[in-house]
Order: sequence, then C-alpha cells, then structure tokens
Amino acid sequence: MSLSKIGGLANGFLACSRAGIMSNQARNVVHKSLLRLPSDHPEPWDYKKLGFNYIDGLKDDTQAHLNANSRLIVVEGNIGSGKTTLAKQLAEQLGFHYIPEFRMDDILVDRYGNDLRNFYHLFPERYRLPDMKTFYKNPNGQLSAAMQDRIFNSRFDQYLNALAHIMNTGQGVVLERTPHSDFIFANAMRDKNYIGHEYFKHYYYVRKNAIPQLHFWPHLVIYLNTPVNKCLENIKRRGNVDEIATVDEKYLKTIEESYKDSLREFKKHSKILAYDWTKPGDTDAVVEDIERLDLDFFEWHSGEVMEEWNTIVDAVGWNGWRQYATSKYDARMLAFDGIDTHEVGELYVNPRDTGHFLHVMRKEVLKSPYGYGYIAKNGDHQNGTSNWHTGHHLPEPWYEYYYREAYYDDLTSHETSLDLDSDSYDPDYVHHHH
Amino acid sequence: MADSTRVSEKEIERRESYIRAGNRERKLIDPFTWAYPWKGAAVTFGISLVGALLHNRWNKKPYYFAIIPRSILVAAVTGLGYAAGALRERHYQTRDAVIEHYMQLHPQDFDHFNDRNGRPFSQVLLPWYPRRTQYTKYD
Repeated sequence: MSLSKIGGLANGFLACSRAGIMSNQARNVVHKSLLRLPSDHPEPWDYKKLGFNYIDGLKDDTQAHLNANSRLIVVEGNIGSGKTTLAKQLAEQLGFHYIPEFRMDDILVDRYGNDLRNFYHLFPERYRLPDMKTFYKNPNGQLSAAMQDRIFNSRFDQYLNALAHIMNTGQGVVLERTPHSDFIFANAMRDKNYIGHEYFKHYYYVRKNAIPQLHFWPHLVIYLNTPVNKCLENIKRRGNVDEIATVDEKYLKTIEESYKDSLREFKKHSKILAYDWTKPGDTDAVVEDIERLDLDFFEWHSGEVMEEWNTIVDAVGWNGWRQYATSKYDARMLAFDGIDTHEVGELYVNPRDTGHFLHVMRKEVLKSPYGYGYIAKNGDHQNGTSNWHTGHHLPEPWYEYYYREAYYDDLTSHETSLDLDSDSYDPDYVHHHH
Repeated sequence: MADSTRVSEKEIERRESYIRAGNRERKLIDPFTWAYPWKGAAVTFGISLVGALLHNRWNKKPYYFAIIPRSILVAAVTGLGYAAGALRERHYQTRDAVIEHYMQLHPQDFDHFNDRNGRPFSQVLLPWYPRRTQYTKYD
C-alpha cells in the first residue's frame, strides 16, 4: 500500500465525519482558544508528585478530567523530516502537553546532575551505553544493540507517561515517535549490520510482548512524508559530521520503507493524517484538519479504531487504567519480565561487571552506600519514611524512566551484596583481562 | 537399695526444684529467666528489627526508609511472638493440670512414685549367662 493511499484514507475519514445534529455532540479536538470546560472541571492531578493509587481513586474521578482535547496525538516521520517543529507548534496551538522524542541523554543524567558519561572510563565496558552522539561516531560498536534495547524500554515508559498525563490532567499530549514505530530503527540498524540477527529477533519478540501491554493506541497519528533526499539535506544542515556519515541514504530508505508497515499497523487502531512534507507545511492547516477529524467515535463491529478509549464502562475502569499507566509497575512487568536473553550475546552482562559497576556507583558517582533520593549530603531530607508502594524504592511514587534511577535499586551482585560499603572496590578492574 | 546411691531428702528436694520452667528467679538482664510470652516477644522483636535493617542495607537504603509502616509491622510481629509465648505457657499449664488430675483420680497407678530412690539395677536387669553363640548347637 502506498503512502498516498493512506493519506487518501485519512481524507476519506474526513469526508464521512458526522454532520448535522450529531456534530454538536461529537467532542472534537479544538484550538485552545475555543476549548470550553465545564465550571466544575477539576484541577489537574499532580501525578508526578502524588502518583495515583487505589485510595486516590476514591478522591479523584478520572472521567471528570477528560474533555474534548484529552487526546493522544503522535507525530511520526523520518529523521530530519521536521517532526519536532510541527509537534511543538501543534502542542502550542492546541494547548497540549508536548513530549519530545526520547533521547539517551534523558536517562544518562541523574537528579544530582551526575552525567554518567563522565564516569564511563571507570565503568566496565558493558556499562558504557552510547548516546546518539557516540552511536553516530561508532555505529558498529558492541553496544548498539544494548542502546536500542534501552531506547525501546524507555519509549515504553514515555508512552505510559503520555497516557498518565492525559488521564491525570485531562490535557492532551503531542508525542514524538512511539514504541509502536520504534522498530523502524531496529530495521535500519539491522540493514546496516549495526545489530546482529539474534538481537534483531529478540527485539521483535520483546516488541510483540510489550506493545499490547500499553493497551491504548494513539487517537491520531500524523505522518510527515519527507523524501529521503530532503531528509539528507536537513541532516546536512544540522551539521553533525558523525550523524551525516551514519545516517546515509540506505539508512533513511529503510526507515521510510519500515514506516509503511508501521502505518499499516496504526491504521487498525488510530486515525492517520499523512502529509507530503517535502516543503514544510503550515501548522494552522494541520490544526484545521485535526479539528475536522472525529476522534470520538467507536461502535462494535466497525473496526478497532478508538476501541480501547471507548470501551471502558465506568469510573472504576478508568481509575484502573489510570493507575496502570501512572505506576508503570504492572505494565513493565507484563511487558519485559521473564524474557530470556541467553541467546542474545549483545545483551549479555558479566555479573562481575555488574559488581564493579555498583562499586563505582557507590565510590565515585554517588559517593554513598545509599541509592537515589536517600543521600543526605546531596541535600536529600529523610525521604520515604512512610513508603508503602511496590515496584521501586525511590522516595517519589512516580518516576519518568525506569532506567534513569529506579533500575539502580534493583541491581545486585555477589560482590556488593556482602560488601555493603564497597570496601573491596578495585579501580584497576577495568584494566584487567576478563 | 545400696546406701551409696541414697541421697538425703534435702538433696532430693534440691534436685527436683533445680532448673524447672518458672522456678528460677526473674532477672531483667538474663532473658533465660523470663516468662515465655516475654521471651517470644523479645525474639520476634529482635528478628524483625534486624531483618528490616538488613533489608534496607541490602536495598541501598538508610535506616529510616519505610520506617513508619515497618514500625507497625514490627509491633504486630512482636505481638504475635508474645501470643506464641503465652500459648506455650498455657499449653504446659494445661498439660500439667491434666496429669495431676489424672494422678489424683488413679493414685494406685502411681504407688512406685512414693519410693523416691527407686529400685537398684540388680532388680532391673535380667540375669546374664556368659555363653558364646557360635558354639550353640541347634538340632
């Protein structure tokens, strides 16, 4: 199926959107200046500070937050296609919350401002995960697969963040790229042989397991179809020499081809607006197109588009999904736990390396035997005295990305379990032969 | 009964009352003299407290992590220990009372208790004839 057909299909949806009396009842997305909220519309729930648990569900009604603009809009497109600009302007005009695309930098700098990359020379090699800059510099490195694994994991978290934001505040979200379309990069990296076939298979196995656990699909996918040569031009204009070298025509071509599969998958669950973005279009026109879309319609036996959003029957159901998206614990467990990696050499971690990593974290990075949020000399007050939640040990009930800080509390090794103050830390470990 | 094994009434009294549950004087610094409920409470309190602290250390947490719900938990577990001790004490009391009552109802079954020195081994053991079994003839 060609992309122009998908565009045509989206226009078809436009043409048969409801008219007349019904259109007064349909709650379509509107420009922020036109959004009329009822007088008893509740204040946004501060889920980042409070989390959202069963008791909170008795205090705060999810459906009361939801309004015409409580939608998830996703902007997809090739590298250098102009996603970011459009997504930002869309969020601005619609009054949505803009979530930029996940970058490795989001998890490599912790709450104290420690940049883990500054300590990479002390870490065992397996723990020197590349960020985009390092990846572009050396895409054939051993850890490209590990990085891709981490990115998919974090995109999963990010998507849950978007869902949590909608259900806790009622504000819509414009999200750049999703875990659903992340496989475009796995395909491109496999094509260029940056990742091995074992990891490639593993990636799709994990994806198949994880995507259904997100439950909700975006209301609307905006695809910016920018030809490869135009993308190349844009990337050249950014001026990153390594990016220019790595993201070549083949790489972008694979991404473009993979997006066709991605959109075919999205089509079953979401509305799609596909634009020819050879020349960056007008955001106002896109907003108008969105306003004309009916994002509030679902009926049985007429496809699965919007199904998950419209088959929740009562406040208990909404509170359940809101809690699911806010806590992330069940979703992450169902998506990622119990998947063996012993056949995926690229993801192998030597347990001794984990031990040394923990030693370095305690002795050099955090300079404390305690984890994030509990280090008095870094200004942490006595947090977590009344902690009573499952899933992680951070003092706050909500975290943005598991692999930013929460993972550290779950990491154990033989070396450090019986040496709680890391007295056996040997800085020369990284220079030994293993 | 040979005189060498006989002991005085006073010595018998001493032996009978030496190290018996509940017979020793209570001392605060010696937990082995405490009553069962207090022992039980002390043991469960100690174990749960040390467990909570070790759990914190293992999980890279300072002592005060989750201290409020854990204090409640420790108190509950300590109460369970106290209850277990009380149950044990009650069990032994009941057992002794049942036996004593039975002995009152059937004194004739316990006549041999009146002779506190008991019988000598010469009356206990069967006679023994030194014969080697390998020379036994079987017909």
